[in-house]
Amino acid sequence: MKKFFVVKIVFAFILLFTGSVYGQYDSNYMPLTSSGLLPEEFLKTARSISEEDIKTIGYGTDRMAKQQFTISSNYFLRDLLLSGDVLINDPLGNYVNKVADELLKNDPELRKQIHIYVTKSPDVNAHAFDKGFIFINVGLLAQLENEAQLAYVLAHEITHVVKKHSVNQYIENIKLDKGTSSYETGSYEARNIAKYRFSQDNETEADAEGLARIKESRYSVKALNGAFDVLQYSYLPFELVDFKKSFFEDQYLILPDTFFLKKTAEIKSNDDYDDTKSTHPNIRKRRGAVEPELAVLDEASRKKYIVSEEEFKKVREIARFESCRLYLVDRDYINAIYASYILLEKYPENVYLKKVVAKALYNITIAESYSNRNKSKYTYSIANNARLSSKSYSIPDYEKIEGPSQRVYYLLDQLDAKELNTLALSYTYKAYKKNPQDLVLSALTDSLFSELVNSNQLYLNDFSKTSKAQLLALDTVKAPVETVDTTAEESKYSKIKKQQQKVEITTDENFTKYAFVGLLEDAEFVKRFTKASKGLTRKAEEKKDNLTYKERKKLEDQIAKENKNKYTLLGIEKVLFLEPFYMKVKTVNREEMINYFESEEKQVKLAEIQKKCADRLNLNYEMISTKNMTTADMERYNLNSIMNDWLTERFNHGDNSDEMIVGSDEIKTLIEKYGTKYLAWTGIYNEKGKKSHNTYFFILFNLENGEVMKYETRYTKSKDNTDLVTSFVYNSLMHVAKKPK
Amino acid sequence: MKLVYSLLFVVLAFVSNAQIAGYYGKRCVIGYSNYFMIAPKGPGPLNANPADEASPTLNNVHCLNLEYVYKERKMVCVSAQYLITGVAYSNGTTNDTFFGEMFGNEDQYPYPGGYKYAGNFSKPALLRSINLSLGIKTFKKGFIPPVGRYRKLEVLMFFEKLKYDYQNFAHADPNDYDLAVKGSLGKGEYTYKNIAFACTFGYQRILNDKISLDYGIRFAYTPALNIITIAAGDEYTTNVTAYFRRESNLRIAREQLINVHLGIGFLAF
Repeated sequence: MKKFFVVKIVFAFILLFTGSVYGQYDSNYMPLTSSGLLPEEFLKTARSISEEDIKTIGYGTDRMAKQQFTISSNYFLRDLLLSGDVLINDPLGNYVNKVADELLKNDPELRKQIHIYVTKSPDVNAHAFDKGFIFINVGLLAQLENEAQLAYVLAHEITHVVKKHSVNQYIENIKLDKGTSSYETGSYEARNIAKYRFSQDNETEADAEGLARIKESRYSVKALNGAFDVLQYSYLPFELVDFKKSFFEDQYLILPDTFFLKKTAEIKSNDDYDDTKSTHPNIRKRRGAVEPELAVLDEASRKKYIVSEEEFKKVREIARFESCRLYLVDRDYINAIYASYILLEKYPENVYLKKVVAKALYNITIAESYSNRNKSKYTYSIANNARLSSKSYSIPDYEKIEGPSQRVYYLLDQLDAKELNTLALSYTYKAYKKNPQDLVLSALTDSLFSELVNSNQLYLNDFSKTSKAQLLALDTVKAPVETVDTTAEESKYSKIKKQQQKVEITTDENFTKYAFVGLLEDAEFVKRFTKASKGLTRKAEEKKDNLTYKERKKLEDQIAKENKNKYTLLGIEKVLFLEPFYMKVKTVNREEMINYFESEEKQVKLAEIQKKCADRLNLNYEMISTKNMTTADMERYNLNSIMNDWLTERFNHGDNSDEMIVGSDEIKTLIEKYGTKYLAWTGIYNEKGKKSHNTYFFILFNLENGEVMKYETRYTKSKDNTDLVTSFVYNSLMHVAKKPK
Repeated sequence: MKLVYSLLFVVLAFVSNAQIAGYYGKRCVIGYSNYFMIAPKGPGPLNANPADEASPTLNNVHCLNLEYVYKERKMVCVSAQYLITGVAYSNGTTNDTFFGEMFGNEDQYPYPGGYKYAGNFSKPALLRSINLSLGIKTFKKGFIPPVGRYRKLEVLMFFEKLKYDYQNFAHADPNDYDLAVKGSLGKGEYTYKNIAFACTFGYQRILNDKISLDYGIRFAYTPALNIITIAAGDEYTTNVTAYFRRESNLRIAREQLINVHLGIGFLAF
């Protein structure tokens, strides 16, 4: 009896758990993190792997090229594995691996060689390394229709691994460059196009072999019908849902109908595009090559889902939630809003999704205000690295958007900075009121109040406490005139005023004025608004418009001097350092070759120099490093992941430090753990051609608000000797550590 | 001396700036440099073989430096130098004029007053000079002194002292021009002052966070050279002091014209 009771309890727990698979996102969602032990393949250094691999490369004409490829791909792979973008022991990765187990059930030896991970990227893509690593993006999982399609994607990538397409492509490209390839012997242009053709041949082979592998498995072949649709329409959101303007509206905030497109652009993706210079054949060709082969006799015994339909749907849902956050990191704010909108229809009370929308609205608002203030498109650029450079954000052109999401693009494009600010504040405050314990929403609200007052000069008295409907009902249009002087004859001016008020009430253009009617009844809203109004910070700029040239110049000089003094000596006691960046490049015959081994050695040396200089300056030094990790270092791996996420997003924002780093709220954990809010990153790019060139950079961020406290680059024509590097690092850290007199 | 120290302290206090990093927090370098160059013309201090002013030799200037980083890319440099070289006695086979060298002008009594040297030609006259210099090193953009590529502009003051074997001269017998009569010429020791402007292109490194290594090439120009050789006219042919001044300055000018240097020092504070 007792035993039966225990079984019942267990059963009840199982029911509760399975029930919560769909119910668990009703209120919140926690972003994906890695857990458990770090796999062994993450712990080996790229150098040790490369040295082992080189031994296995036989002798022959391609030896050098193979060696180069092995080293560069190992370092690239290592960077990716330790970037924090790769998820370990997460529900998505676990499921994908189960599908791979099923797919390779008859080939256990191959299964052992294949390592599959999910990567935190919203792009609809997957990629493979010859060494057996396959990475499936979160964005792809969010779009797939069934498990069989996932199996086909895996089968395709496995073919790339088995056929060693990457190395073959690399060697062939070198031969084509030199003109020694039998694949194409024509002109330079013809050989260049042949590189793409070679890649396309590999893709066609991967499609065909992947299909053959699916046929060998128990997966439905017919289910693959839509696999190429997923690719073709990968630029569209994961669902197509009609966007309703009521999403942002309430009883008082009524958006003008003119801000909504009556009809959105049709989806007319062309699958027969020119693929001459594309690494993949166009979709029509791929579909054409595969679809005739989809008919199999035993289709009836095959299944769309073998592992679990429920788990597939759960994984896809997680991927969709995760994509919302990843869109934010990628600064794809409108996609983030639209993706959240789709999910909010299903989970209307999910605070995570509301936060995504609030954060996206906030950053669009800030970017709009920023672009109004700064017309230049100034960007950061470190060592001409595209990843570390970015442009100011602007709302993408809605005319280029297809499908129902176009409405969101159009709406936000129509709103000016003040309107955007009002809309964002209204949405965020309402979300905050429903989740008053949420500190992020609270902070966003305050920031939006501040932006409203400081940048957009909108104060409490700019917003009506009475709704349009009430005004019309009470006929308040006449009231002010009557109370002024009831005996006086109505003047021309009072008639004009009356007319204007009538127009104001009847038109919906000035919707911002009546947007807060409901909210102004809330004491906390009024209190916060009042508090923000007192903290005016942009007086100097307002004043600047009325100044003469000389006065303006004097004021600008004064501000520049204040800023210079402010950031010259920072007097910071503790700084968190990221692993430094070091790249040594040798240019031979205009061809750049990265010296990976030396770069790695120099990176270690640079870290030592940093430590030495920090110690000398009594600067408390802490470095998040992925070097010498053990299987138990998952926390370090996750912290590095948080840091990289933050940094990627921060670099995307360029010089606009007003934009909030919204991709991860976990940064607060990191600040608390290390006891500092300052993050520094140093790096050197050394190029050795006929002469040596160095580009050194140092950048210091405030993790709390994303402000760049110090940004320094130095370009020198010399060798990257230790003393030179030390002088650079010491100089940077001295400005960080020393207190102003 | 107290005054010098006080002055130095005031100067350092004035130029010191909390925002200047120096190297590892140290901004003062004390060092020794040696300026050297194979001189195409002019002997060393000890040997003038084959008894000609054209004997090539290795110039050496010993130099004590005190350098201090006072601005983001600038160092002020004070140095004391000691230079020792030789001035070859003229045997009258060549003249310094262009045509003289071309056509081999010969003058049996090349010294003023119709004297010729009658001593050991392989032992040249000794020319010593203590130089004081004040310069500014400007490091190329991107570098942080005292490390990196620099250009140094400096002013040099020469305090020259020429010592020659004044008793071993001879002049022609007034009765028989071919017969030489032994005699002395001048005082045997002259001191002169001279000035030069120099430009150095160099590179400075710091080894083991302590040792400073400095190398480069220096070009120096002595404006006094023009005054002596051109403006002074033919005075040097009649005036012994002017003659030796000219010889000394020419020697120094040639020696200082192009020099490479190698220096070693340490980071003081």
